[in-house]
Amino acid sequence: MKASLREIHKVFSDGTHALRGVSLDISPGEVLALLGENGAGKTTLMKILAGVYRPTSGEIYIEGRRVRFRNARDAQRAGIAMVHQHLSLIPGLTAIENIALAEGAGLRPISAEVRQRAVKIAEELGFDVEWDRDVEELPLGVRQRVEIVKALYWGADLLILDEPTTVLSPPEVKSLFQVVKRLRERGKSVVYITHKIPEVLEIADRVVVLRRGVKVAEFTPPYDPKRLVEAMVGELRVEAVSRVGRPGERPVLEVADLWVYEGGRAVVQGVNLVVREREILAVVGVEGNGQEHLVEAIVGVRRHKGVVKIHGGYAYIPDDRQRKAMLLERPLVENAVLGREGEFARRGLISWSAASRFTAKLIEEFGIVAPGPWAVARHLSGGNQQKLVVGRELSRGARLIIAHQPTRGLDVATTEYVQQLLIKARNGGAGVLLVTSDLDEAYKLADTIAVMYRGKVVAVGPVEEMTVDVVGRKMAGL
Amino acid sequence: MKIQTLSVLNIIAALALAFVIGAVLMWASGYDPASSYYSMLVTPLSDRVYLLSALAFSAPIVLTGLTFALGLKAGLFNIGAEGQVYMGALGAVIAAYFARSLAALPLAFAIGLALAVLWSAVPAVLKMWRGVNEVVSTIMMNWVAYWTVIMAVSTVFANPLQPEESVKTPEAARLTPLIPGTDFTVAVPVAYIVASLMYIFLKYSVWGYRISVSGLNPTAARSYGIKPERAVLAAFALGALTAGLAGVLQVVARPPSYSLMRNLANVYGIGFDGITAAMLGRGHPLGVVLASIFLGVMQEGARHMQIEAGTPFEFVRVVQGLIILLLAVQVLRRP
Amino acid sequence: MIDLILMQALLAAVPILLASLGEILMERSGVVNIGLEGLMLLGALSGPLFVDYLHYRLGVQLPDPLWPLAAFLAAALVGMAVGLVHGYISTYLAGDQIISGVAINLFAAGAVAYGIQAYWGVAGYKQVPDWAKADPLALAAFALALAGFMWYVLFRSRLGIVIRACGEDPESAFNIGVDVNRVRLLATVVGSSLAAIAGAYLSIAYLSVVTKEISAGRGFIALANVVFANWNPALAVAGAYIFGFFDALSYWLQTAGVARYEITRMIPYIATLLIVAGVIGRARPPRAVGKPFRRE
Repeated sequence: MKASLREIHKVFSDGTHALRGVSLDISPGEVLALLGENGAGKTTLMKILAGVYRPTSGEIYIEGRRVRFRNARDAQRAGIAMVHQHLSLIPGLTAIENIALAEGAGLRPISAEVRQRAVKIAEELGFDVEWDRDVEELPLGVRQRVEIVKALYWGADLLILDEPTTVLSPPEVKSLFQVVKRLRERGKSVVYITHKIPEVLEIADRVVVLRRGVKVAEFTPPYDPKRLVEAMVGELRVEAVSRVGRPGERPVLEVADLWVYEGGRAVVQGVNLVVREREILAVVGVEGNGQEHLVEAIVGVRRHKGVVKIHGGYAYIPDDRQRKAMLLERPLVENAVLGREGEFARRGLISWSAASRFTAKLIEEFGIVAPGPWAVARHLSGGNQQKLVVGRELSRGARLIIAHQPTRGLDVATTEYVQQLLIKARNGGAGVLLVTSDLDEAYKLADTIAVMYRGKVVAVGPVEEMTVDVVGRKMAGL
Repeated sequence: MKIQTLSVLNIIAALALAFVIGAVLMWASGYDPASSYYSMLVTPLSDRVYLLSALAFSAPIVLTGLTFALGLKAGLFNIGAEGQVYMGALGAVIAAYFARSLAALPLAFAIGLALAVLWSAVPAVLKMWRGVNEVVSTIMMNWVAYWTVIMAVSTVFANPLQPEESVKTPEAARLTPLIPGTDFTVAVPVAYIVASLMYIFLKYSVWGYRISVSGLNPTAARSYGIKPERAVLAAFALGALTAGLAGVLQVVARPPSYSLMRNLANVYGIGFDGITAAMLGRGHPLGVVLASIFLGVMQEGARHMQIEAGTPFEFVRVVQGLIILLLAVQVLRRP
Repeated sequence: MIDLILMQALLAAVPILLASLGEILMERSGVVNIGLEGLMLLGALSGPLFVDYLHYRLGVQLPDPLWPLAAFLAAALVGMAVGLVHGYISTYLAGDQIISGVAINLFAAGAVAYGIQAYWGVAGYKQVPDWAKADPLALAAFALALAGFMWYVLFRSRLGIVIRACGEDPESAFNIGVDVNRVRLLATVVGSSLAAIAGAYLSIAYLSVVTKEISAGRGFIALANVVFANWNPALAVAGAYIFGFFDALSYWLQTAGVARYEITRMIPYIATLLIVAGVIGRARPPRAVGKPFRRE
């Protein structure tokens, strides 16, 4: 089908400006790849097209006519269906029951027609499904096929696939590409959301790149991977470095042969890392290549195989401060002593006055804007919450600092501030494991750069040797 | 639903509405709400003996209320206090059976508390190892305790002279009323002291902090070296200690019988009253104390209501049920 | 004598089965109701009280077989009313379902004792007159038929798919267009009425008295049976029968020694513990049971 999005803006209820005036055209019988990093706005844009979200402003046109979707059902009736990244099949129901659910309630059993239609769609796409098995028992690749059948069941002409290969094994990825090609042969349009460049190279008729809510580029074959990466992550500038001295000899963190599994798959595969004194090791890569699991394994939150040796204590700045590092409903004082409550205790009892004084010091030293130590954490702005976390962690005086996306979502000034703090800590002798998807930040801070792709460290070396070109290609899996 | 976020206004409104509905029910069945409520709420406060009796009623409720409140702090829904009270009482009876002197008193506490903690170990371990929801497991344990204790008290530990009761606590071991002629034993100050200790524990101790963090944000807890599993265990164990204590006290410190009734009449419902108290008290130890006093007054008042206004004393449970129901209705989740 | 016990087991199983079926319906849709005990008590009281009121206070005359029917109807209505409250709390108000269930039990315990005293003026024990009694075998047939019907609805009909979807993944169900809260509310109303009918069975068909402790923990046994049956109505029949068997057996064993009775009463609860611990069988509850559904 022919679909158009015009000047789409989306502002969420918490103030996030996710999309800034994006326009997009989709033609029948084409596979359009929507490329970009996490948070670029790809999923949001497509959810608007699929009727799940409503745009703050902007218009949608189907076959030249302006349409307004109140919900996903409206979009489905117009022929648009979306297969979400986190599959939305209902466990405990069989595959055919998931499809029949949309037919509504009634005392009669699933009719033969429903079955026939589902089977026919699957046949046309070249696969077969065990319809009477509980979807929980089906492998993820098969579940995805059921989702695709479900999407097409209502006669969709435009199918949106959101990061479909995240959960697939290589042979399953191949099968998926076959299905996508068949869909194209049948005149359907496919929008393929991804951040993985090799896939784009394989099946896309056209590529549109989003970055920070804006459409920054459009490409047609033949594709130049380097330009794709550049469009995705922005211009890679190498900034003046204010690091002092060379990294030391003694390691503060040693990771050997680390494996992390989730859902039967190896998300981190045999990673080896060393962080030394007075060194910032930046682990870069597009989010979702195992970084989160790596960090969680190192701090002991996730089960893993392999060796993690931390020499001395560590400080930890997680990527999701609200979920992982803070007690939102509690006062700043209780947040400030997290992880070091014993330091403020005498004979098992915490002295809250001492803790309060400590918190006041943190507030002053790190420029946190807050009414006082007893303010509730929830009332601080995101930037100030992060300053609290960073301040708390850096004031531990630990020899290892683990910083996971420490400046994500922060304004420019706070970002700069946090980065300077990390450099200062490093200059003072600490080792920093910086896990970030912001290449600018990595080049600004790092002594050593390692690239992660699909759970493995695919390149590592001193920052002088790791050129932007090499790093970019390794990040994209080339 | 976060009980801790129930506003005081919510609670007062629930109380008021419950009493209004109760009045309508009473009136519809031919009883007089005005005199009933007067007997229930005012009479106990009017006389020193009655007031002391109300406080005596409140003591075990404070303790079981703490059990539930502590569970909430740790992110648990521990409704096992009822069964742990039975086990505590059983422990006191066992002690009374074997020791016929003053020694029965420390023995009662030792065995009673141990049994209660043991009882809480089952749901605790099930939760940690198998992720079993503690609501199911504690309800089951309550009923197993119920039948176990009834069996014990009807057979081995029955009182040959008075078969409706268990063996009595030996006279030397009894905690008799501090003020003669009342029910006011040392159980009351003990309960309040325990509540104060719990308050201090939760607010000022390192482990209290760790339990709170584990309940509020187990992910953050784990990130910073706190093991939420330990907090869960601690919450179960400490909660069992207070509930078990309530059970022990109901045997060694409850005139006139100083024994356990064969039908568990003097321990039945204490656990559930504790839940009511904890809800009214917003999960805070001091709130639990206040709520327990209120419930104790109601229980004492129920007796007067029956005598003076002729309204059956079970009516108190009706009002209590309404209060909790209204609290559940009025609490809306904040987004 | 063995066939006598087997028959007794069936009759003892009926209230447990009815309440279990009600709870299975509710939990499959995503609502947990631990107030079954309270519902049984209320049902046990409402039936006889209503027909007594009709007959003696209002002077209504009905052909004989209609009296028990009227009693069951009254119980069902009371159950639906309570179910409406609990259901509303659990869905649109997104309140705490456990607390609501606890409240129902507390309220019912007091209300029934109070009701017997207030209405009949006796302290907790009232005989049910002959004209109001129902035939337990008829109810047993009804319960078994209901179990079969519920099995069909849940696992073979499209309505069942919708109900189960609400209990497993309400968000996805909502996105497909299912009104999750409405389904849950209806399931709760119907399920609660079944528990109340189970209670009425106790007073007008099985024991022929109304007492304040008539349910004697059966509501909780029914909760245990739901887990035992893995939320399947067909298995619930088997489970209820097993529990009924031990119930019947224990009465026969009472002559042999009181101790045995208490142990047989414990069995359902220990069995449930073993099941949820995964020691025997796999208990797989509906994924979203007990969690309120709020649209984002």
